[in-house]
Amino acid sequence: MPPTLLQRVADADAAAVDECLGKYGGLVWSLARRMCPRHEDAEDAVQEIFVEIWRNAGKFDPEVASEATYITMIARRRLIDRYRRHRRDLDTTPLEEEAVGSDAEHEKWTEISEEAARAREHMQQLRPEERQVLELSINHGMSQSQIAETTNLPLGTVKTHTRRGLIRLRELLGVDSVGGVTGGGR
Amino acid sequence: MSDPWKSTERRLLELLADRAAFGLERHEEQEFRELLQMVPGFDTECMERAAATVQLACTSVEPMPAAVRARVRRSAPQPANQRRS
Repeated sequence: MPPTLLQRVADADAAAVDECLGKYGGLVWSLARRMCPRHEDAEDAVQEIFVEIWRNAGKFDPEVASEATYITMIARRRLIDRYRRHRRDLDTTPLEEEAVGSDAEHEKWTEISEEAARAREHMQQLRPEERQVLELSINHGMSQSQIAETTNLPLGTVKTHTRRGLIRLRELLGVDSVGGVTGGGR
Repeated sequence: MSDPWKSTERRLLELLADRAAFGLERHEEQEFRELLQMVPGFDTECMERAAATVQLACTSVEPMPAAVRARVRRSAPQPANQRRS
């Protein structure tokens, strides 16, 4: 099996860094825009995230996650760290529109779109209430109390739906918690 | 009779889910660390991956502006300097 892009980055393939930016730059940028209040914050965040991606490329295991999922995980971790550091500056003002990229880049977005479509298929297998709380917490960054207020659900129910939803997603992703791929939970 | 290993794993998964979605309180972090010692090799990233799946499903991908890409590329260390340690 040929090495994945991240494995090539880890193995010092000179072209892999550019390919990685081309393939996942849009994804990381889009995530940063969602979670950073200002344009310059998003730029700084993207830079930090890619440094983390270079550092952690060697840890990527295609048996455990897709590259897009792994990169999203690293991006979320870094963005949440930044958010907590700069919480006082939080502002939901949308950022200005940016220039459109090249056709070659568009092909890469399509690949990411396919990965996103698979993720949406997994989401569709959750109960509607689980899906709702996960979208509010993970995509909109709401706290448990904010979700409870928004959905009129008791706080404990919000927590239960969140846990059940994520545990179900983990099962759908087919990865065991103790180190291997199993096709389901224990 | 309940299986203590399974109940420990279940609680770890709950704490990991809470951490991935909302973050943990200090006492929960402490509980998490204690439980983790009971289950060596537990995949502590499994819920982060599940959360990443949610994020991926919800994210509309747009192109990274060329200026941002150039900045990131300029600041990227040479791949040879980033081998896994």
